[in-house]
Amino acid sequence: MKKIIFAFTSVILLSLHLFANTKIVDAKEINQNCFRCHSMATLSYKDESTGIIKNLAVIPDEFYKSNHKNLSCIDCHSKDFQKFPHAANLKKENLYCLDCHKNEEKFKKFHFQTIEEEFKQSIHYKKMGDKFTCFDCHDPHSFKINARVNREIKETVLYDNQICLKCHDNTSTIKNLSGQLLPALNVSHSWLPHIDLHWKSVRCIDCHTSPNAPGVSHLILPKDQAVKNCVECHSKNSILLQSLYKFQTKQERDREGFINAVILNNSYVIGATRNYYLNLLSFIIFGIVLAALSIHGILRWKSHKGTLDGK
Amino acid sequence: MESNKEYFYPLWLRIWHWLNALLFLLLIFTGVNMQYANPKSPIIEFHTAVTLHNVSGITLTLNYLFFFILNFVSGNFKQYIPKFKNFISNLVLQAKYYLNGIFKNEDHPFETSKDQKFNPLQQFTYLQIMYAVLPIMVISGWALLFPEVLIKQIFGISGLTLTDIVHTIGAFFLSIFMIGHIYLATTGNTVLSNFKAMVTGWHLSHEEEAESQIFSTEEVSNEN
Repeated sequence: MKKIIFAFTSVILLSLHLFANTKIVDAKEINQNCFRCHSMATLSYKDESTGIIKNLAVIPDEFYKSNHKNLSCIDCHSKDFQKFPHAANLKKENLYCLDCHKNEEKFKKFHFQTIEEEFKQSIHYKKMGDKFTCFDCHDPHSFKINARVNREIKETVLYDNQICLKCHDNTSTIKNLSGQLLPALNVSHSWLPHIDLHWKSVRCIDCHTSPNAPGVSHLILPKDQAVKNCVECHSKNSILLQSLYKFQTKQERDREGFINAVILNNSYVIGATRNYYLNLLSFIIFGIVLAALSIHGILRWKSHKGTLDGK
Repeated sequence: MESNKEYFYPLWLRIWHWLNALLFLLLIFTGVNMQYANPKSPIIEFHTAVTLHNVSGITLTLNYLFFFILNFVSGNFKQYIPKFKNFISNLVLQAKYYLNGIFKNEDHPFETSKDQKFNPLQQFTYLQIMYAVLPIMVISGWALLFPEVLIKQIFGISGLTLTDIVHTIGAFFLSIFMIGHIYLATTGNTVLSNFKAMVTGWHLSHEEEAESQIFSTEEVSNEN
């Protein structure tokens, strides 16, 4: 009987495995047709109504490393794209991340619903409305989840900041988007000591979003509401623990037993980097020294007084 | 009892000493303010503390160089070199005095003079403070001022973190030293006499009558 169950289970597991693999293989095969053209780096067209050049290239290597690597192009795009030449009306295709990401149980922890609400309150949406979409920051063909999974904080910082810098470090792009000429980033941030070090160590969004989000905050604030008070990061209850270090803080706290370990191990933030044991030890030594000197002083005074009285 | 005055501390030394003392206080105050920065009760604003700390640190470096050069040129550095003979037993003798003799109004175990201003314990401590701890503080301080020059990783720990820990531990020892130094400065002839000597340069001592000890000395010794 056991043998039968074993054989039966094996067959089921094997077929599931094959089925799963087949799905990926299928996706790759379907994509292969698309990539015949779309892997060309220069594939693009000029939208005549807006004059904007639309990039249609997708780099297969990046796509297959991205979080969407198991999807086929037509899982998101219209199946009609399988016909070539593509029908003209397909240009109007309007994709939205939350069509997939909103209701599924496995996406619950990412709080997409909140992200959508935050995005609607963000300065990007307020200024640009529906012209600004998820895809302006997140390229679905190369998107990789970072902050939650990457233990190398500096890599997360680099990845996330590049998203902002794609537009914000480019004066002409910003001018096209906002209609105004903004000062260069190193000028607007000149108040920040060690600019380069800050930019390598923290993300733009750590200062420029509201830190109370359940996931990664998408509430990009107007510039006058950005964090400018050093102590908000440079203190024991650093806001970085709720933003950049959020996903590591809990694990590290459980392991190391003290909350600032995560910052201590990854970088150095004056005011926030405090070694618990050294801190405790210093207080103890300091206390002992003060007590010893006080006792010594009192004894000296008493013996001196005694001598005077004796005389 | 005959009082006599000896010119112990030349002007350059006094200027260095009091500027150093002022900078120590500023650096400790601003340093503690940064290390224990608290948004709810800022004694001094973080940004101000950083600027003040940097300016004081740079001034301290210049002051240290001033000390280092003049201490060498004037020959005063010899005061800092401990005598190898009976090194340990001399330290013990001085320590015993602080722990016991001082309460019995015993004399200081080592005579102080222009050529021998420090007792063995002072020599031992000052040598380390001036020629080890302070240089480490200056170097690590400058490294923190230019963090991009630091080695990124040392045995898997960030070079910046390590430099900071060295700087903080050094600062802690200097703070402890400063407290001990100020307290022991009160063990002179009178509570204030050593402080006065460091202001005027004139060390007041008074010789006692016949004394049988080899180390017959004054009740006074400049402790600090």
